[in-house]
Amino acid sequence: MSEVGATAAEPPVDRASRRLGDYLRAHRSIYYYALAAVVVVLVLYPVGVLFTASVFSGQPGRLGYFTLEGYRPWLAAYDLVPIFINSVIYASARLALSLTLALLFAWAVARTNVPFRRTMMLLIPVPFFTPDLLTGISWLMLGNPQNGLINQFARDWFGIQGPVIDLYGWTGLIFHSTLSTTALMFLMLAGFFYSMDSSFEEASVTLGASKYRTIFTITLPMMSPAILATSVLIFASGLDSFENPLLFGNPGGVYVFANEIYRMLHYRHPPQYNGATALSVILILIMFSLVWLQWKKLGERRFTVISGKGYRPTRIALPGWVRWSIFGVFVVYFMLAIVIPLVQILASSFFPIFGIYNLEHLTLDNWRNVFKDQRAMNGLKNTVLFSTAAAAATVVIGGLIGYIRVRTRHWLGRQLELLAWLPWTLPGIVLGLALLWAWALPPAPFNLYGTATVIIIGFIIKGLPLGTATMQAAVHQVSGELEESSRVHGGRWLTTARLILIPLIRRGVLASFVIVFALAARDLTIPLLLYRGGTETITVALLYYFEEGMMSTLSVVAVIQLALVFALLAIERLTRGKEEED
Amino acid sequence: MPDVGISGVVKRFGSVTAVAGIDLAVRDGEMVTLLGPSGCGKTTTLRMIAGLEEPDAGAIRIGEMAVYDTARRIDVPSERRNLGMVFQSYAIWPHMTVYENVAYPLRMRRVGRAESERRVATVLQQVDLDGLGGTPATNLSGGQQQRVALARALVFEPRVLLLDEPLSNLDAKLREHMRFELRIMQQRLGVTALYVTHDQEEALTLSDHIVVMNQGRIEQIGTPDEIYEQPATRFVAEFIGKANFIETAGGAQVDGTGATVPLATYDGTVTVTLDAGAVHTGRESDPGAAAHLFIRPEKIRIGPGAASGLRDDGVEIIPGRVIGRAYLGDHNEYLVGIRDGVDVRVPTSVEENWQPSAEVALHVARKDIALYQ
Repeated sequence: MSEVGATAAEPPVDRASRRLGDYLRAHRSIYYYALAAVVVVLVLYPVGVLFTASVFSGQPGRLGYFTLEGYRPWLAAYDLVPIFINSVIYASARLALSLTLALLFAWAVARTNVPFRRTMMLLIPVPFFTPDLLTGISWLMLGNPQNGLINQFARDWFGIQGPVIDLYGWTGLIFHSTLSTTALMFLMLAGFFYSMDSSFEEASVTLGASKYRTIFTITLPMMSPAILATSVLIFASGLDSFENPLLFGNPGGVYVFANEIYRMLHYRHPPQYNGATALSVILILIMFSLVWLQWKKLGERRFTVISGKGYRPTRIALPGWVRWSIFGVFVVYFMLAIVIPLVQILASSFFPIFGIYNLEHLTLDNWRNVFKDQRAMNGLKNTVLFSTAAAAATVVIGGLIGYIRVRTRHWLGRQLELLAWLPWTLPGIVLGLALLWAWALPPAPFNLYGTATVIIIGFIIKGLPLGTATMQAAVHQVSGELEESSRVHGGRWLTTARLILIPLIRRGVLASFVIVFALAARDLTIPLLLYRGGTETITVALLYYFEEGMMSTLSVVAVIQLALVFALLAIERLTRGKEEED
Repeated sequence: MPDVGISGVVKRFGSVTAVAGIDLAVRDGEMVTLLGPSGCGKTTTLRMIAGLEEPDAGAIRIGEMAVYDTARRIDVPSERRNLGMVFQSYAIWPHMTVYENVAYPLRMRRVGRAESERRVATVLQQVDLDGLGGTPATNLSGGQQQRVALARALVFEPRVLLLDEPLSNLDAKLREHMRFELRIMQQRLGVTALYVTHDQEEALTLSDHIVVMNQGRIEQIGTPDEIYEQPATRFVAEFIGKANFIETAGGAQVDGTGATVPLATYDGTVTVTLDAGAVHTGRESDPGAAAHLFIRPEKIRIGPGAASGLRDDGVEIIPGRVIGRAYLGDHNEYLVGIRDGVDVRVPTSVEENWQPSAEVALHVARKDIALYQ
């Protein structure tokens, strides 16, 4: 190519790599298409296989013959209707409760003088990162109708017969799922409240409206597109939840999509792959139309990721009792979501028999035994390994998608962004089933059934929406001129990424990594459907202990896993804190 | 220092044509300004030279080196064009010190440590920032950041210096100061420079040549005084400096030797005669459109009385009535009506005093009148 007038002052490049480099540079979209191919194989391929498999008779690994048999029980309506109604009730109740709490918290933290705002800001999101499986089991240990600790306590000390608290069925399902959903909603909404220009509210107050009236005439209406969009996403993800229906729904006989699909696969002999797959397809179609409807109606306002950099909006001064009441609500929320289950599980990890907490029985045996327990150690190792691998891969994929979307005008940027969001509408159990079909089907080297790879792939897919959104926001915050300036002054693309872009978005990278890691470490459905001896994760092991009633081992493992999640969150917070001081 | 040549360069963004096929030559060692309103394609042009946007057609040459050519399928990547660039936002990397920022181009060129330190020290001295090398870049004021950006763009002795509205983020006082500094430094180093701005004063003070752009096309290329004194198109006349446009009553007689333009006034029709050089028919002119006489406000003098016509010394006298006056401190500005709905602005010294609705005579040298159709 152009060697005309090349001067000695040019940055040195060796010739062979220059020729290939020139070709790739001139056809830069090759990279974009390669990335798109990867994402398509990751996300679209399993969904495609799932749709195909729903009209075949076989089981993963063997398609069998064409049949519509799988759809018959569902389309005959009377089987689908109760599940559908249950799911809608579940998702709506959860949404209504968590939306109320999250709105209150987000508004209070971002726009009022509620006490301990920084602490609230820091702690409210925590339940999103702690596995629902753990806190759920802990709550069951406290509140199951037969031997739940609370009921035992009531019986032993007050002689109350019959359960005072029964978390089986709807109560536990809605109560416990609301807690972690509130955390997620808060994460999604707080940014909107922080970034809202307070002059709109001030204008309202100067025109004679009281500050409380302003909340309802100005603040909430202005937020309503964001609130509605978030609500749809949360509603859709409510159909996703698996752990809560499994833990609380199954014993209470409440079946929604997720645990019904699992029941067909796990509690029926032989497993009803056919029907479960068909039901999954129906669920995907419902979720799709929901999200599609919302986009159609509202355009696509999706997500603002809270950055450390806060605006300083004018805060509303609330009277003392209101401030402290809101803070009280937060304390109750945090106690229920984190402190109580955590203390309970920590306590039970030091006693040999669940529920008998006499100081004389205090022991470290549980802890000693766990380190000899093959299943626990292997599960821990796998969880750390798989989650790390998945988080690293997702940060790279999400970063590239975000980069293409933000920095180039290539049409693929938009498509990739949409593809990255698609898994949001894939319930974990459905994703697991889809991956089971998709990767048990291909011949030898690509047959990933039961391997670590397929579980990692599952985690990547699960982390892709939030991982990509975080990375995209991070890239967006860095002015393009900072990179262009490097390019013009002699830095090649990779050099620029290494020396300029990555150092500037390191916080976003870390945040994205932590989010995906946490999502992976807490996930139960994907490894549950995909593991084979040796690749089970800690969540699979926990469920096993739970089903076998091995509460002491379970408690120790749970404490270790929680410690892992908290350590990670602390690292992320500390790094952020240090940066802000700079 | 090499020159820069651009020929037939086109850039579209979707259905919008940002640059509609322009030709431009920048001579060695010159400072050339691309001037125009926002959206005129000036920044896009600069970015195409820098290799930050890929043209849809055309060729760009820096010295002997073709850096872009659609026909020959040449596209030298930005990092090998060897250009220095100052960005509108300065694009100072916040995670680096001043030294690291300025030394970056040298680092990319594998310049040794000692040599690199020497050159950074020299260039920091040139921009009056000596001793600030170890400061984190974010601790600098806007003006200092601007100098760091300039130092970084110059430290490796680039072929050409590109500046994208480098002064637009500074406050007014500093902007005026830096304007002169930039010009002095560019002349001392003899570096070929391309400068993008929407600020006409900046363009007039800084440039050897000004390229006035509008809607992706070049309206005029010329020295600052050519652009000011003899604007080639009505757009240039309007965009640079202040302008009075007086709609003629129609019926202007234009031929090869010049034009005779009847101008309706309160006191009947005055005929203005113009040389061929003062008659401009723009590219968008259509025969039905009204012609306008163009006079810079400062070329008009107000005199008493109601005489009209051409004086022997080449001064046209046009009758008018004083409409109003604005006091601007160092001068007055009068609004003088020529006929209903047609008026001109005339700056005068503060000593001059004309009563509202007084009948006056506007004196304009014939050479200072032009006709745009």
